Amino acid sequence: MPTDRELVARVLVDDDRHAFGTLVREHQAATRAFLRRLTSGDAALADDLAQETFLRAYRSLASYRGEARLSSWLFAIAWRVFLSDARRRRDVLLGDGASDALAAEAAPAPPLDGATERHDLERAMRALRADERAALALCFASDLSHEEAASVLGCPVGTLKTHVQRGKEKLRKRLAPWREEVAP
Amino acid sequence: MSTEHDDADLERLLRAPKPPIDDDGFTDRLLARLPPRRRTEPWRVTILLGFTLAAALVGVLVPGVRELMFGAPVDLVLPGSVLPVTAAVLVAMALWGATALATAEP
Repeated sequence: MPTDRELVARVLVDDDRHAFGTLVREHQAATRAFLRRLTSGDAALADDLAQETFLRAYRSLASYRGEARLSSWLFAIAWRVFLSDARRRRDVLLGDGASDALAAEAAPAPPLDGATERHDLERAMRALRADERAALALCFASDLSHEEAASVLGCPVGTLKTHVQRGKEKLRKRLAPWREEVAP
Repeated sequence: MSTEHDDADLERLLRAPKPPIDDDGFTDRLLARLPPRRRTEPWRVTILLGFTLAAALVGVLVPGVRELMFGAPVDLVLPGSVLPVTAAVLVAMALWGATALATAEP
């Protein structure tokens, strides 16, 4: 199995589409999952953004230096694509998450089955700012270090840690009453 | 419930793996949207490189042309002349330019 670097080299030198396809198949699930978290579970929008992410990656592959993991490099592109789209749509408030919070409040009650916790979490995540959602998704779901996540989001490590702390705090507050409701 | 317990519980939730996302045609749709393949036409490269080499040889080997092409600039910059080095640099630049032109996307 060729490494990511070998595949990147094949794309750059020979414009090898098959090699690029292999890279996409390898990284599509993580990139789409990250974008689904950013878009609060809107799978169609997330997939559109993921397509744009990989197209941009193809065009700028020569700028990939191999210093970071390819997945991190793709996350960084995905984050910029998401921000551009959010600014264009103006339906995501990057500042205070107020509209997302309202959406979370208006969402239907979760089913009381094995998926309840995850459903609760996804509802609560909608109330977070986009950068808090991204920080939590990268540090926990994608298992990046704080340094890697900060690099993806283009912010200092201290700022990243603040996003993580604030995000967790908001989630704890939102999840607490729901847990009390379902607690035996 | 303590804050530490809450925190560990929350992190467990955040780390909980989701079902993997199937490719489901995603890669094929993307490959169909890639920009056209870069094409390097062999005849274009051959003609441009051939002309460049011929011009460079004429410039270096024919005395009158050599003086005309390299003498004046070299005299301006470095009186006393470093003709072979300058010629080599100019030939290399010409080759590089021709190659870039030949392989450029339309």
